[in-house]
Amino acid sequence: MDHLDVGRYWDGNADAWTRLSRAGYDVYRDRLNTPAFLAMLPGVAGLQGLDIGCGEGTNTRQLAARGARMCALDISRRFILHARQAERDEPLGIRYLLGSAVELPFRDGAFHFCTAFMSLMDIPENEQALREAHRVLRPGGFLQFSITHPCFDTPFRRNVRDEAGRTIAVQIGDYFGAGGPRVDRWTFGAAPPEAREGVEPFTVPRFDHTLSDWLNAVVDAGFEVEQVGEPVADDATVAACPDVQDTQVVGYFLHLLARKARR
Amino acid sequence: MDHLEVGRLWNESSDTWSSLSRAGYDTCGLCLNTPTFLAMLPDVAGLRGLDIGCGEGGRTRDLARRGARMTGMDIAPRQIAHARDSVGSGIDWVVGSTAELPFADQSFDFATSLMVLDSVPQYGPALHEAARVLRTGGFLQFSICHPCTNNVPHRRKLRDENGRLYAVELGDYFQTGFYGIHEWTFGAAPAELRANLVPMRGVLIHYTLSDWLNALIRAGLRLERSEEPRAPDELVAAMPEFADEQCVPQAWIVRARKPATPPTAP
Repeated sequence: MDHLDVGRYWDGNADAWTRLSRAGYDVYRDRLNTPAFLAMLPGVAGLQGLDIGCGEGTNTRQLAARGARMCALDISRRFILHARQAERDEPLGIRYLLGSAVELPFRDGAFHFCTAFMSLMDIPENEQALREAHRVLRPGGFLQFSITHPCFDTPFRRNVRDEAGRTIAVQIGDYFGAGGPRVDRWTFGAAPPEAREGVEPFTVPRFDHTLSDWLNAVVDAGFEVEQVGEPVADDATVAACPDVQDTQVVGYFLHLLARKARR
Repeated sequence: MDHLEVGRLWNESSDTWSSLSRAGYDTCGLCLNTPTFLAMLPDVAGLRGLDIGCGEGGRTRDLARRGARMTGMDIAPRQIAHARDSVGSGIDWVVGSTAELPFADQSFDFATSLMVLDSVPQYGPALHEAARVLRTGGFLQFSICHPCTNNVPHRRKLRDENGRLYAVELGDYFQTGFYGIHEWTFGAAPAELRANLVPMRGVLIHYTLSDWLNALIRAGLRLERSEEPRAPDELVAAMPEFADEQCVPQAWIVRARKPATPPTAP
């Protein structure tokens, strides 16, 4: 399975994903993951930025709202169509392009910064994607990306819940891999049954990458790791949105801020 | 719980530690963690090296055999006494604490620390101290119990009916700091031998992955390499108890360098 195959899966997910996430059912993104990402992000006002794997563009629009001049790219044609529609409805000056993270259609040094929200772990050629991000950054520019936490989002994974349904622990295994790619089927748990009616679950290809695979790939691409985050929902957030309580038990996401050396 | 209390527990464990590890019962270190650590280590021949938390000095001697001019430091005087008993190594043995390394700035070309820093209550200052005694361009390579899959306050092994470890159960990952004292020994040592020895005691202190990486960065060190030892199939064939080490990693090994150029960040 390569990045083009993955793109076909995501193209199949794109319509339902766009509808359900824009309806507010991607609560992990909205309540925790994107706010923590933006809290860690250096100032981007006035900077030229590239959002890699932008999907329907919600996160890209948050970057544009912070004053960045954004270009955004996704491998799914339908995601890009949804993103462009949002740009027409409410223009923020974002340029959306159909393309792959493993062969970015930009010249060297074209951007001050790159972001990738929860997209790089879906790319089997993640090392090549990191090298490409490094290539299109100008010296001194940065990449910030989020992925599912490689130590806890393992091939074997079960949540242990108490009688009230709260996660009290997670079980992980097959950390070093379960023998190649597999396809998970899931949907946003926060979406009520009526919202899910007639919607097929997402089909998401998964790849085996350990923590060390990620850290070494970032270093080998030429980056200097500058900051690391593992977002955790605070009690007020959990009180307002009990779905994200499980993020208090183990790490769900890993955020990395990495910089290209100034030469 | 401070570093002196940790040092006292470790000092009391010295005789058991050195007799069992020298008899070859630290099989996990011997067969997996140390070989992985040494395979990842850059060439150290001719370099001045500091082994932080050297214990009875077994690994320090491994480094000296690779041609490094080694200093071994430990907080426990009895460990250092055992280290000095070992013959013909040409190693300097020093009693000292990670909280305040008894060496001048830039004294060493490299520093190592094997399965020590996760027992140090003040791991941030310890990394600063390690960075301070390194020359510009020098490196620190250390191993700790894996902060995500092993050294976590709630952890339980899950085995199937054949005894095969298929998962570990984890929780309280974000509850950081001291969480207990454990009494332990090497499972590979025969029961009758263990019965005659004082059990070893150590502290359990947990910090998250990001705590560790951000502390390294704040200490002025640049991440260079990460490894998580996995038991190779040949090792499991020879010693089936190592099958556990194919499920999740027990240890995490990190190398970071004191950069010749200051960090790029504004």
